[in-house]
Amino acid sequence: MLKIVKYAAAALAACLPLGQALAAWELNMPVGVTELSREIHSLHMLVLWVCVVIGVLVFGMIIYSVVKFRHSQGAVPASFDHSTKAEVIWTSIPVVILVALAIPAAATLVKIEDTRDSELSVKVTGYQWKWHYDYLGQDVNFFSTLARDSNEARQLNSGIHPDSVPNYLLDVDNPMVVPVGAKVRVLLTAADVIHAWWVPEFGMKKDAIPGFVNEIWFRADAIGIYRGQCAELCGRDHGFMPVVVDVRSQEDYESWLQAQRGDAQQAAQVIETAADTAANVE
Amino acid sequence: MYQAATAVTLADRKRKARRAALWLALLAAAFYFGFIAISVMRAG
Amino acid sequence: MSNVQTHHAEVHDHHGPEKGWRRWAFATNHKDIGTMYLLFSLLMFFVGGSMAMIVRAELFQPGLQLVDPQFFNAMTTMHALVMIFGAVMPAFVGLANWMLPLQVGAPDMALPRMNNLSFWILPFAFTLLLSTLFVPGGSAAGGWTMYPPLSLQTGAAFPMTIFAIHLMGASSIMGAINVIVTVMNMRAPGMSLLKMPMFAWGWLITAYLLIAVMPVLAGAVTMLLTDHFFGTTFFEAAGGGDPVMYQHIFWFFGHPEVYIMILPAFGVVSEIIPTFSRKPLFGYDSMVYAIASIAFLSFIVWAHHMFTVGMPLAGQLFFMLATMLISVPTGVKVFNWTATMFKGSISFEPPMLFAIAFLFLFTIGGFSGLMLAMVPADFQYHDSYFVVAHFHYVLVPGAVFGIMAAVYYWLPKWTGHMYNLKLATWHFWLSTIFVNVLFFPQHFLGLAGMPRRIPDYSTQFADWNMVSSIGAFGFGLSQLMFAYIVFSSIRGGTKASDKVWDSGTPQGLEWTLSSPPPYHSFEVAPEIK
Repeated sequence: MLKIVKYAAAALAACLPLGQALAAWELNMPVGVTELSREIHSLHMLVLWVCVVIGVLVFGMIIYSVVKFRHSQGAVPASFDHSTKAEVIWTSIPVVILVALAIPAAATLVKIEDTRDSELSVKVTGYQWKWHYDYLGQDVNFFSTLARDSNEARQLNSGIHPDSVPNYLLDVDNPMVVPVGAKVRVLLTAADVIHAWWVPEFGMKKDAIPGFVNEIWFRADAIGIYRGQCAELCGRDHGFMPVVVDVRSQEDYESWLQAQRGDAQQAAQVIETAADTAANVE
Repeated sequence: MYQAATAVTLADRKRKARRAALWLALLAAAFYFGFIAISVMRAG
Repeated sequence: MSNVQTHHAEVHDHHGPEKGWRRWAFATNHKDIGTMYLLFSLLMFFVGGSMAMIVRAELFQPGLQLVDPQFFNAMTTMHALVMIFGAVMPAFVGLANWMLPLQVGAPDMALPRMNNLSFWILPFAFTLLLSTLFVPGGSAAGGWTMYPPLSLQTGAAFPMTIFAIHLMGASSIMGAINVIVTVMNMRAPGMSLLKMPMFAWGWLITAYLLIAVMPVLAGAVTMLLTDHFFGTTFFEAAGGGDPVMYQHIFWFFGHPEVYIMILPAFGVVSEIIPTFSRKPLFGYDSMVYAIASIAFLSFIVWAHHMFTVGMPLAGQLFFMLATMLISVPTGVKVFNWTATMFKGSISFEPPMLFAIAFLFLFTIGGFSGLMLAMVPADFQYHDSYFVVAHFHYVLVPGAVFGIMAAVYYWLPKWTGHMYNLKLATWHFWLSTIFVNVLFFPQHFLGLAGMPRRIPDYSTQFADWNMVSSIGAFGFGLSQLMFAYIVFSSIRGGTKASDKVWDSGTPQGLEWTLSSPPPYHSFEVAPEIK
């Protein structure tokens, strides 16, 4: 195991000059860009290190026994078959460790569940196989589907190498756009089957279930584009409905919102005119 | 299989085995219908 | 268990097996049925394994090269169903059939005709299940968990899959009833429950779990069936039903199911480690209590499989704490095995090698299980490759290595021939190395953000996926050695002694019989003092 990790580390080092965009040989969870994702990451590291320490002790003991008490080396077996003291110790110590892990986990969980005082609510609906974003009270809504270049490359034997497509399978036509530093409440539901909305950099994942509405929230601290995927098997193209969130400055967000409204009005007009024409023809 | 002396206990054991098997089968059936019943009640 | 005294009385009714196909079709002998179970399981292991190879071949590099996404989903779904219900569970029932009567000193299983039925259901169930690959629309592809509403989109395969699951469930329940009745009624005089071998204990508790939860699965899929064909709306939101309730019911079955696949392996390892450490099992009583508490806890942790469905905070906290608590009895087992080896005199025959690897790698699976129990962290891990790595660590180097350890431990007893130890050692090292190359990188993939059950992935996941696939091909090929070793031991080889592991200290009634044991094991019950 250790060898694999070492090899991986070496490989990782070798890849670094190539640029971080290609996060190859990635080993760990991203720290993320929200308060919650950072807390989740530190919980993850805490429990990981607890496991590593216990693992070193237990595996160390097994390895020691395997090396030291070998039949081939003439080891003479002892005959003890229990020790109440030892058993009480290794029943109670884990309980203490578990309590120590559960407390910070519970504290973070309470924060995660607190969706009050959000500045923006977006209703996200999962469809087979795309997402629909509805900015509540803003008169803006749109579908978000896999970007065209990814979609062409992902066809069976397309002949297009995925490396030639930027953000292969993680790019959409219309990303969700949110302002930086704002508490965004995401209301999740689905139209057909169960989906799950996941952006690793936000530390959050929740199921989108038909007939039900789930809530999560995030507050992105840094401007940037964050990518995730549907995380609940939802049929044939489950692997091809990415989640892309474009975090912009407040001003950029506002102007995006204006443009969206304009687009929507224009589209409505076009449809109206078309309907009129059709009526006239009749 | 067993000697005559143990014939009584053998018959006894057979009876016990049959009874235990039936009870266990009943338990399984109870779990099956019980869970469906719970779902029916919840939906209703 | 130690001082065994056999009554030498006249034995009547001494007949051997029937000739030809009738021996197998009308089998009521626990050894014949056990053999059939084990061979069936081996066959299914390769069927399910081939499906895994297709999955790993498609995932070898980004882009879709080999299969359509729908077929890919069908492969992951069928791989799970075949491996769980066709390979792991029947293997343990086969081991129970072979070993329980030998271990408790009984002439046969308590209900031999039901035993025949419970085996012969399986080939029909799996013919039905596998034939769905050739029906219009292909086989079920909504995951082995069959969550509605997605599973309701399955085509002609839908009722066939559900009927196959009903059949497997019926078979498992009958097997479990047989185990309980045998262990409770057929023990040799003097063998109290707390003198039973650990394998018998593991299986007894497993059998109770099976009787409680297999009907629940059957109920859940029955309701899917009525939702699909008879207009009920158990799980359909539009009709006032609740798709999440299916998940609750399913995982009420699903979590104990996890322990159904590992508790008998715990029993096997508890037999093997003392033998090759030449030292009695450390803390027998606490080992039994640990198994019992794991079984009890397994009923109150199911919702940790569905932390992301949106449960009340109190519910999430309860299921987190209950889940973490399971690591206490599991820890006791690992520590006790370690303490059994401590100050022993250890030799490294193939069964012991597999048992030691089990100890290491199952523990790694346990660690990731503890990590997954932390609800906030689970929001990241859930449905990612981290989960795939976790459950494969407990199921492959856990359950499957447990089965292989058991086969290598008792195979000479069954066939009367010692197998090729050198080749088996090779099989061990190849399996252990490749299983880690296969599954360890999947932890990294999951943490980096790769969801499970996707046929194609972003290029940043390419490297570890390639490593993992190479591990998969290596592991898959290595298992051909296992089949070769088993079959050549059936055909011949050096004669094994009654104790088989003469240099070790094998304990238990099975070693008081000849290798292979007589067709009817203990026609006169041995007495345990």
